[in-house]
Amino acid sequence: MKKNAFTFLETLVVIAIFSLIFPLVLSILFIILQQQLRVFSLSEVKRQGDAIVNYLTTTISNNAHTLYDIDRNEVCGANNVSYPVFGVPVFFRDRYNSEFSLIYNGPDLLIEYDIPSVPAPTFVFAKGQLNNSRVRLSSFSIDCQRLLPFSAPLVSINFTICYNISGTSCASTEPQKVVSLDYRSNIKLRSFPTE
Amino acid sequence: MLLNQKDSFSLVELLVFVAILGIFFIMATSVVTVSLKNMKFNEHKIKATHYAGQLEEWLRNRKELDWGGSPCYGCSGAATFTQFVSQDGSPTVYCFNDGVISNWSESGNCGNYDLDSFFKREVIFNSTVNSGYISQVEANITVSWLELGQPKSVITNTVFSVPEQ
Repeated sequence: MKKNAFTFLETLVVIAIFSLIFPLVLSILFIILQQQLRVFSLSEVKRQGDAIVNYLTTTISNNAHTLYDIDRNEVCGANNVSYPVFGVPVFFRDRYNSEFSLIYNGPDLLIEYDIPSVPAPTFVFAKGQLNNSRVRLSSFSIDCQRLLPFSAPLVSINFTICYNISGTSCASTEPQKVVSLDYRSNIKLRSFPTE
Repeated sequence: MLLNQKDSFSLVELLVFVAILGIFFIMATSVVTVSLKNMKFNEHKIKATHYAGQLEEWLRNRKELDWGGSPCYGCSGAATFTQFVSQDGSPTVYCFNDGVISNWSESGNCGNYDLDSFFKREVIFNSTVNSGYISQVEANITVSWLELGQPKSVITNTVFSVPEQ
């Protein structure tokens, strides 16, 4: 009676074919997953970058009335001898003199304020961290300029935002793997003191 | 009887199996190719949208800083926003292929896809002149790239007008 089983050679051929196909399939899957992760990272970075810019634009444009540097000296004000004037604002005050600040504590960006004292109204925007832990901000800079005593101060905010890959910085030895976007936003104050 | 029967696949059975497997592999490959192509296109589209927004923001800044008002057809010393956007009359085309936009370039179309070594970013300005002054500028920003040899683009239209104080 003949035994109906695969021969050693047949088994060997099947294993050889599988060992050729399996890595191919796995590498295709790996490429798909990597690409999906890249698109997800990019959309997350863009979503958060846009959200930060929109939030800052609304908050600063609607609430800031005067600008102050780190030593609380007024910058881009209306009482300068010559124009245009430039400055690096850190603190912002509204028309009731209530203060809020923009703090870059790399890799995070925060808006902070104390509760305004009565009768000044409370701020109508949330304070705290603007980005979540999935993204990092770097190369943050802020400045202001004012062309004329009666023109609005223009606040410029620049930063690079990148996807947080295992807590490393946006600069990597493999730049093709880093997902980052540059943002440059200009915010015109709605209300400001004039000469 | 049964013991005498040869228990192996016939050639037809084997052919059918190979054909089914072949069809399955071709379908799987085409699905993978299309999905990878779509993902790559989405990635490029997100970046192109960002680059278009970046230029729009820069133009808005220029406009806020110094709108001007007077046109400057073919003049050499353009200084204000309206003078730059009316260099070649209406329309005037500019190329902004630098990653970080710092200043106006020479007017004209982009030659190559130099932005991020993949994209090109052009803007077409159409000015509306009233009583010798430009009251409104329509900016048509186009960020384009080549996707497997096929040109693709993201277009943003925006209008700049006299800054309100």
